[in-house]
Amino acid sequence: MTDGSKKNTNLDELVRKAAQGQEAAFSELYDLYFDKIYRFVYFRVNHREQAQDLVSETFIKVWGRLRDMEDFSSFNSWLFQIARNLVIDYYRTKKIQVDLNLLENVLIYEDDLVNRTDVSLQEKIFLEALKKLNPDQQVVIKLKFIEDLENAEIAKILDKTEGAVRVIQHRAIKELKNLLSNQDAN
Amino acid sequence: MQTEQELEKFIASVAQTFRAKVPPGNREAVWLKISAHLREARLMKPTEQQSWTRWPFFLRSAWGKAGAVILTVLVAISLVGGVAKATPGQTLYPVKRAAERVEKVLTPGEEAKVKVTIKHAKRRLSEVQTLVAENGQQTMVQQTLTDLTNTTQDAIAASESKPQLKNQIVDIVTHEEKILADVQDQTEGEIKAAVGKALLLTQKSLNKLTTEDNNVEGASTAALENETQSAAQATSTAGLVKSKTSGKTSSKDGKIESRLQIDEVITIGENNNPIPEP
Repeated sequence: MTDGSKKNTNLDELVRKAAQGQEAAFSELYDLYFDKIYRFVYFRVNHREQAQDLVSETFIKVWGRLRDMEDFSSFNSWLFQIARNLVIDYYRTKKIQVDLNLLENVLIYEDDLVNRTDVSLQEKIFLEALKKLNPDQQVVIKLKFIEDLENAEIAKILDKTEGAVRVIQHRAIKELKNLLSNQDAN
Repeated sequence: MQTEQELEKFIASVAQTFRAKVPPGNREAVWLKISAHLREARLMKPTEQQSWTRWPFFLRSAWGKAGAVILTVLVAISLVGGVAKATPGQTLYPVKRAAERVEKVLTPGEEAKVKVTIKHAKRRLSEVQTLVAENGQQTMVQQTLTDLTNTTQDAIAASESKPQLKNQIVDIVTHEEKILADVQDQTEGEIKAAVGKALLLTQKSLNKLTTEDNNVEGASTAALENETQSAAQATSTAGLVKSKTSGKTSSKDGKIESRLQIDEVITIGENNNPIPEP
């Protein structure tokens, strides 16, 4: 068994135990996913305490629904979908008009980072090039690299197939390479 | 920056810069909140007496419980082997359908019932495929198509208050559309017409599911308008995506909107990687 498949089996086992009501297993799942989910939410609400509240709501909701889960291998993507929906609800309750596309594309520090003095020139050039990609490509690059999500998780969040996510990422990288090469030539 | 791999490494290092700016979350404090909730939920757990009040009346007595156990075992036995594979016209098929009805009754909770209905819809679809492949009688194909349509509509109706199941419903209806389109190509005459009717209904359901504004708690909605005549013949492994779609998401109160535009023709090779356009 490869490391990857062994890891998946361990995760499936954890999810199965948590679904049976074992709080110790659920606590391990929490430890595994806290950082990713917190970062995912934080990037979208830009407030530490609010992000923490939403993360706790996410896991509480997950606990309540785990026993209805049939496919344990899709736990990751399911978890992110719940977190995303809670963020959307958060904006609804605050009666803030939010463009969902922007919500996916949000990166609070982006504009600020471009003007920071401690960001390298290459990083600034990269950020400018990123803005020239189409919205789907920008979102996939950010979710993949900045938020460190797997393709299955990204697919679930964006309501696309994994294949579509791979294609978008491939084209985004190709486009970025062209943009940055042209920049170098100039 | 010479290769795409080098670029990916560079992007990853820039990404690290972003991640470093996120203030660390208080993992322990958040867990304390969650574990307090788990503790409360444990204390609030209904007693055996109370939990039985959620069951239908005939299951509350000891005889009712024994009968439910026997029925569950019968359902389990009948859903394996020859019974599970029975198709319309075969001797065991009525047993299969009866077992499905019992399964649905015995399934507690609305969400679980919807999932069982989705499972049954998948079986009807598989039966249609089998009947067409084996040149089944026209009446049987038509009846199975009717059952498929009814089961799918039941699942859609029951899931309207369960937004967390929306993706599963969309998946099954999308799959249904693809299969029915394939089956339509393989049939002729009245069977073809019957499949065409079922396909049309499926497409209408899919359009409704993907364009309807939902304002259900915890759900976001995506609306897609498919401009192609037939179902998008997309495959995830090899093939050509021919659909041209534009998307709009909105809630009932108009407060959340997004526009997604996808209009690319993508050729995916056998190794699951995109083939560069000439």
